[in-house]
Amino acid sequence: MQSIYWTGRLLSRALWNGISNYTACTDPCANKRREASFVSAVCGFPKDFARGRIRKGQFGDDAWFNAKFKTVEVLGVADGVGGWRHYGIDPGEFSNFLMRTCERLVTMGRFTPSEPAGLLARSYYELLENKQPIPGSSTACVIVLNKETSSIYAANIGDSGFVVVRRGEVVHRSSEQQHYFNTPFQLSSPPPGHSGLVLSDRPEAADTSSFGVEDGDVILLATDGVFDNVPDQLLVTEMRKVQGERDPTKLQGVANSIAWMARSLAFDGAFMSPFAQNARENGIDAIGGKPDDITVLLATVAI
Amino acid sequence: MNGSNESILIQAAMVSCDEIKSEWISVSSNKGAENDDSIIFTEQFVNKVQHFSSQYGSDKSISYTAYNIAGNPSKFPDYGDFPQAFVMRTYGCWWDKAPSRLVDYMPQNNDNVVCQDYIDVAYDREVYPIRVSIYETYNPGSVVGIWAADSSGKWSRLWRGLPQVVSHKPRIFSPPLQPCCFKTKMLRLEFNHSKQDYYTELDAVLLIGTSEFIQPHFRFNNKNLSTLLRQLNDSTLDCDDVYNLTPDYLQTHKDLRELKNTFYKHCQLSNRNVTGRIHKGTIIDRLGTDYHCIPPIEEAVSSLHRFLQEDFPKLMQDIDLSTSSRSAVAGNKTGSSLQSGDICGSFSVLPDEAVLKILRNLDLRSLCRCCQVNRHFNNIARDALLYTSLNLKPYWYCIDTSALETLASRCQYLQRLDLSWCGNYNTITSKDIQEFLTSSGNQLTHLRFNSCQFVNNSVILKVSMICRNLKELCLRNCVEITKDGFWPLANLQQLERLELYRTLIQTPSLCAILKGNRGMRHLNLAACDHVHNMDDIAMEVAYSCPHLESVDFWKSHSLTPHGVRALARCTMLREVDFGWCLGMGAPGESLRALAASCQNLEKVFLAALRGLTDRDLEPFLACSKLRQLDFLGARSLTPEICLRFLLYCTQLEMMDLSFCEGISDMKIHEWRQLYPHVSIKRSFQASGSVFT
Repeated sequence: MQSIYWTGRLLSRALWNGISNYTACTDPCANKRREASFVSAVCGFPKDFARGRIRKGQFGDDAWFNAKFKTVEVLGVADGVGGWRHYGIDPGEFSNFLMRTCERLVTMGRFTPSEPAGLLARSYYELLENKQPIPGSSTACVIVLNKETSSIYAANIGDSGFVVVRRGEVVHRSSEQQHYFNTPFQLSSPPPGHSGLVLSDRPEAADTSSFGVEDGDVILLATDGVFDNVPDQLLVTEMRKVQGERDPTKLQGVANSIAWMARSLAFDGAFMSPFAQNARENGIDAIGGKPDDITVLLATVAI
Repeated sequence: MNGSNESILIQAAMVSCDEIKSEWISVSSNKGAENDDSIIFTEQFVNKVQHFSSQYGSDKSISYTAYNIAGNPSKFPDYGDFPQAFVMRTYGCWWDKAPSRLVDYMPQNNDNVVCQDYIDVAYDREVYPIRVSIYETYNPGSVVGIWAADSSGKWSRLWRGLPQVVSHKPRIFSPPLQPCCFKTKMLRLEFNHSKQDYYTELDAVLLIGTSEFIQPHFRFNNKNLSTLLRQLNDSTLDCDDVYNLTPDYLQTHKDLRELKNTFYKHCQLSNRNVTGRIHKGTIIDRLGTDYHCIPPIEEAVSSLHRFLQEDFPKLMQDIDLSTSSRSAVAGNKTGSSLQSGDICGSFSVLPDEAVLKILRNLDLRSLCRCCQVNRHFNNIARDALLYTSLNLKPYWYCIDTSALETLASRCQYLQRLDLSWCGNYNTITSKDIQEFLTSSGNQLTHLRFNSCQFVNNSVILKVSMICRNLKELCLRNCVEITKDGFWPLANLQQLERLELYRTLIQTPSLCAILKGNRGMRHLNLAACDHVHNMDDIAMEVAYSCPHLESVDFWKSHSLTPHGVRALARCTMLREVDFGWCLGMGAPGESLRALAASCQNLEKVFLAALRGLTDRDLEPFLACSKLRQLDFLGARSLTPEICLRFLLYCTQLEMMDLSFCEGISDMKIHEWRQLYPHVSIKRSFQASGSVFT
């Protein structure tokens, strides 16, 4: 399909420019420049290095993925809900399975780019189709970039999320979904309706949004370990540094510094973190950061 | 789970974006020489899955489905039960021992190995195949046949073998192939699971082929290419893996590399267009042999040579031996009128009825050969009484329109017909089959159309009009029938068996069919995703089909405890499969009610009912005839209840406890020792490093 599309495009262009210019048009860069793409970097830390995993795509109970299919690029993070550890269940298994399945679905092309919530729902459905029961629950956030239309489709369930900075200002951000303080919306297994004891939301409950992107936009996709510990202003300041950046190493530097910042603030007992502020608003006297797994996916849009 | 999955279903083309490796190999010894004599070696993985007979996963899912065989290996060399692999629905002999088993009509037609499943895979580029490598990631050894199709849909067998028992480790299986005289981009793999401990899982299938037909040099005494490759493969072969040319997956295709490096030494091109000259004959020619496989002339000469040297003297000896023994027999029976001279002609002495009785035991191939003996045999061997039961499934590769026409003239009394697997890729059209049914279908009582693409709405309409006495109708995998196409079946009244695995039937038409057929005994509704209210069906079954013996609701996500509870009315039930009925999260009293009223249960499959508890299973202990149990993925089951099953159910033969987290591997090990008569299944997942 793609080849037909390109051939058609090339042919019509060739006719337009006259045969003499044909060779110039075959230069792939000339065509590619119109397409948006991500330059991305990942960094993160498990909360507890002692039981930290060394598997790719995971930091503690957090999991992430980055996949491409044809003209679509997808990024995603998920944060396994730690409470399951009390029941002898590894919360990282659930989030990791969710992200790995999203990755497979994307590379197999079994998803609709404009329906990121559908991608989460399908991934969650595969969890039920797996022979090995994987109990647990997780928050999740995926963003899909359609390169041809330069638009982003995002779905978020729970308190992970994303921020988009354009020309130094926050232009889009996900809205946090919580049942009550420190209890985000979550996908969980056993599925809804099976057990009254487990808090569980349907994948359809995801908060979805779509918007256009411009060249140079900076997107931060992260778990609550980042948003709960690093004040917004600090995040935006860091993200400004990589506006329009196409060098992955520089991007990696900033991703590292955000992750490191989150890590050190999380263990700073005297710091008035966003989490502590939230707690105070809910009538809980708290101070200091919130030790948690940290995952940072930083991407810039290059058109 | 009901409607919620609808939005999830996305119809996307399954595309794998994997690279195709091509390599130009010069034919002449002079490497620098620039000439046209070079051939291209192409290595490619599956691009698309065309057709298959069964899969473990459901169509909406990407776990355990046939499409997972496409693309590069994703799990190999990991070994175990992974959702990323292609898994079929059955394994071992268990399904052939269950009450719902299908018995073949004309068992004499079957080879010594019966194929139970197949998958057709398509590739991007057409090549002359020289190697097919199958990446097996769990329970290897079930592949028994590899076929290649040309662009016109003619099949040629590349390899056949017996199901193997090999050690439990990941394997790349590359059997020695027959030379194939045409370019192919579609392969069929055939499976027989009878020797398998548990589900076979396949990760990928690699096809290596050339742009030109190659064969070993004259100097190699006209050896087969596979034999030559085996010679180049100097590594010692595993003794339990005799067919395999790549037993060591760390050093695969070493022989091919060797061959490419020294191509001019070993091989030559042959541009013979053999396929063009093949005589397209009547049915007998095709049933006779896999006629596509005509070896190149050199090979034919050598095989003739071999025959004259080795086999011919043996044959002569045999003839001598048999005549001498016969004369000895004749000598003994001096009193009898039998003379050694007229033994061959004695068939004409027998009455036709007796000859028919004898011919009845012949398979279709032999019957067709008999037709060619003489006029008398021709008359008898075409007698309609010999064609009352017809099993054409073993001949799927050659049954087409003309074959069907030939048979139609002999089938006035046809009662049982098995056309499963036949006629795909337009070799039989729905019009052909309708004509066939019109001419010889009115006596039919048994009809099997499993995995037939030509079965569409009009064929079903024809069946319902002509075959009024139909007792058995198998339509597994007939996905061409639309949801409205099933309505005519409600006119049938004698049905005792109905199989609708993976069809598009919906609730109203299925209810109507069940209402009309009160004698129903076996019902297979597995993976019927389009039945949105399986509870209604279960209730209809409960009220309309009191004689039901087996029912398969596998992967019916809309079945809930209400439906199961209703089924308790069917007290004759011997087999139930509620595997993967995710709506059964908490069975409540339903399973208890079922067990209490159906004391004849022999097979109870409850796979992936995560909420299953000991309490749900207790009443089943009273079913003394229990043979097969499947509790896969039941998280909270305790060892106690399993032990009680092992103790009290004396007939128990198989129990699947895979992924039951409450039961330790130690216990399983212990039980296997203590109760050797029960095959206890336990699946696992392991990373490949364990086996290196």
